[in-house]
Amino acid sequence: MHIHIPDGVLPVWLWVLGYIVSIILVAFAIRRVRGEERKGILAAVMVAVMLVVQSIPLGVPYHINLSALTGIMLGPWWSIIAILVTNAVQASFGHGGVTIIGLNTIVVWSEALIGYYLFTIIQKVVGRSRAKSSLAAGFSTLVALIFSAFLVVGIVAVSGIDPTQALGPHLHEQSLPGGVAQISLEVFMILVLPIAIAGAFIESLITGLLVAYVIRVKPSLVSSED
Amino acid sequence: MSLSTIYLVDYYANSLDSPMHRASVTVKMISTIMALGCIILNTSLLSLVLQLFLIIGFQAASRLPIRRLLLWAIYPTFFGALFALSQAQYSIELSVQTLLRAVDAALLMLLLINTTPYAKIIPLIRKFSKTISNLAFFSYRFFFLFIDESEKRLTAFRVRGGLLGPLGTKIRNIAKLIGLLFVSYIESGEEVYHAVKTRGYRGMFSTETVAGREMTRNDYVPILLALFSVVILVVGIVGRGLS
Repeated sequence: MHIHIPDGVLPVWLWVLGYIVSIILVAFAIRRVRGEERKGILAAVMVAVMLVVQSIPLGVPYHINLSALTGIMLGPWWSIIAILVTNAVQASFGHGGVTIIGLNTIVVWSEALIGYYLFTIIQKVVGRSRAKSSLAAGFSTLVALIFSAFLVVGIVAVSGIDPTQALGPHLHEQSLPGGVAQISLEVFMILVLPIAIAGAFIESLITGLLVAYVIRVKPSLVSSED
Repeated sequence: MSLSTIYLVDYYANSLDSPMHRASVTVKMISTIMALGCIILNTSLLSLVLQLFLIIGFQAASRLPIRRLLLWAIYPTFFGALFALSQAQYSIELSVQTLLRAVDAALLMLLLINTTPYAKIIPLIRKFSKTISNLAFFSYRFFFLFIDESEKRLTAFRVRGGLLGPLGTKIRNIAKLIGLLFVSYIESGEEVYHAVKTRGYRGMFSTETVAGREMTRNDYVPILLALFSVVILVVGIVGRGLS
């Protein structure tokens, strides 16, 4: 889930803060990944994958990001760099404003971060069989996406803008409520969170099935006992 | 953002020729940032309309297909319209301003990326971070490696009815499709990695960034865009002050 706010709407202090935080995080990440050139290539693959999968129609007004899977595949530090590049490419096409790149990097990275740590912890606890790894990936993605949905709501609340302006989980025309002008934060949460959570379920199912498929055909990509 | 959009953008940026296309990437980026700043700060309806015509004028001068670019701007316009709707209860002028700001910013970015090949932006990124520029370079290569295969498989997927049936079946089919693409992407990535490694790649490219060069006449085109944007902003501020 990411923020689709055009340029010139969010208060300057908020998007500047988003840039400052994300630049600090990315600078730290660049230091941490030094010397990992092979993983850098995998990160580039994940950037291309994230861009390509967003074009795959699901038949519902939602597109997947695979950000949690990116976290699982790359770990926390390469994933934030990959997410920054993906967001920058998307913003250049008007998919979220240029001023929102920093905030979006933080929001999407939270998915990768939670996805990575939760997946690692669950694997340690329950084991690494194909079925368990698949379930762990699906569950981690679900938790990560639900968290990011609340993070977007939090950003909207902090910004003080009308909540309907930050339609995160790709609310397209057919899913828009009527009378958007008078919506409060509570109503926004009631309207947006169910769609975000439904989208999270779809993406977590896809991620779980995808991990099961990958383990079957190329197990070395995801650590598993099978 | 569809796959064909990115393909077309790459085509326009690399194959069309105009002073804007030939201008220095650094000058274009700085000018775009300045123009974007002017759009964000602009609170005058008339100025924002003028800014819109200015950007469309520069797009036309750059021989870009205006109608297609306007179509691509629909997505950000849609989200801008939501803002505009939510502000309409307070002020119609404010809501139109918000919409115009979103459209202006989107068209400005489209002007930049349709006149600047992605491969030429990478050396500029390199000045700030070699890691990010390497990542951007490889992802650019991979994207176009993957795009053909993705389109072919997507078409076959649609033809075979991959999107038909209940949601559960659809999700299972999509997961298999993405899984198939994913594994083949990773394998392609590994092949590229081994290829560049045998040529001496150790995480950084040894080539230098594009050397600084003298300003050319072409560079005045993006500078003009920035200057006109500043003038429009000032006119808007003065106009509001007078009224």
